[in-house]
Amino acid sequence: MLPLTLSFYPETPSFTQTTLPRSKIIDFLQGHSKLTLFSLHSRRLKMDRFDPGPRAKVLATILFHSTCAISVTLVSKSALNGIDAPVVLLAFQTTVQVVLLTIVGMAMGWVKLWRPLSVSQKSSICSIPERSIYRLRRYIFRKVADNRPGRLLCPLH
Amino acid sequence: MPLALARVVGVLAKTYCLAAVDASFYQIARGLLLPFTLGLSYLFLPSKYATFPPLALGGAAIVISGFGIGMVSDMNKMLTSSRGLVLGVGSSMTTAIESIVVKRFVGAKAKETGEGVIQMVWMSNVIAIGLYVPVLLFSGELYDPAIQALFAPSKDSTTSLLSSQSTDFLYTCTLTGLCSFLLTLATFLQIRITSPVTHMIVTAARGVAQSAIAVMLLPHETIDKGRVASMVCILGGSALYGWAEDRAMTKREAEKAIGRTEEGRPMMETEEKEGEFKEKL
Repeated sequence: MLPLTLSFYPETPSFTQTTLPRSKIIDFLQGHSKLTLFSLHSRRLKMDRFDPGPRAKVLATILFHSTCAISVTLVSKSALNGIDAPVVLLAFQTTVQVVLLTIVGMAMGWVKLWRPLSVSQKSSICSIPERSIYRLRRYIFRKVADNRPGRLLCPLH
Repeated sequence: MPLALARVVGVLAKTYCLAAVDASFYQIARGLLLPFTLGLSYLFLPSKYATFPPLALGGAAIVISGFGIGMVSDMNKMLTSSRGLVLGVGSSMTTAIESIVVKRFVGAKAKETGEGVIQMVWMSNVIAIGLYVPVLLFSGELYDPAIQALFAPSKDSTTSLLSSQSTDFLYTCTLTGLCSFLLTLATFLQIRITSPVTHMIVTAARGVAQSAIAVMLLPHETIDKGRVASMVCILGGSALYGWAEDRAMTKREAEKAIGRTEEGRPMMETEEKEGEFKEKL
């Protein structure tokens, strides 16, 4: 008895609680020619690259996308038939889109209005290496400590 | 910034093209999008993205012939002007450039900064608003009486018509903004859920549906034999291209995977499982 849970393709046999002798199973696995492996991998890759999920979901997504795209084109054409001002149309359209993206995106966490600068960006903006910034900071702290009240002011070297 | 610039130029060209041609002809006017994208990919993208099987090139050739049939038929019947032709070709070119920019820069930038696609879209739109300001000033559209009535409504009887026209324009602009927002989300969803081949075929089929709906809903829209023949060619060519590309990609990846196995490295989950299975035995 072999407690196996191999998940093969539908076309290939699956070995679950099989009573086949071990040697036969090994022969079967080793007997896969290069060509068979090729076709197996082709099918597997197809499945890996595109996992469509339930058909209804795919169909609904395609319909939603197509409806939105057709609506944008036809409503834009309708607006342009009234007043031939493509740039004004685009400016309004983009502004409305940004407002909606900001509201919904921030609520859903997709959009962040600000982000901290990374160390690499800081360095690239100021053109100062990170090590120099630390050395400068140490130097300034030392000078501030030296110039505390009660101590003699010493000029910066 | 490159993405925002490419987007602004692409969207402007598309909108000017839409203004110049019928909505039922729009998809045909932009028929050269696929051939331009292939050409630019070949020129500017690494070779792994730019190797096309003969069948895919055949599909692109059918698409070009569809564009040619549509243009010749329409220009003979004086349904489309040479301005429409130029804007259609220009719009296809700028959209293809936008695709290349997205492929070349955005993926790398997103990896570098760890930002999501929606964040990138939002940022490029914010930059685009800033870029529209000088374009608005230079286009002269702000001096259009109907647009001026939008910003300074008057109770005068002569301008009341303009004002109502402007209000309609404002409403439709807002509606297109809402639809564009939904389209952004839908595109994001579609990329995640469907394959590139499905996306390409659906896009071509959508053009046909769009033309049919435009004829039904919008005034002065017509459809004739030339346009139908052109749409059939564009749809068929796109489908053939998508199918051939998918087949070639699957074959390439399988070959690569087999090659890696021969080198003695673990290839895929299945083979790893096969190995584990053998060890267990």
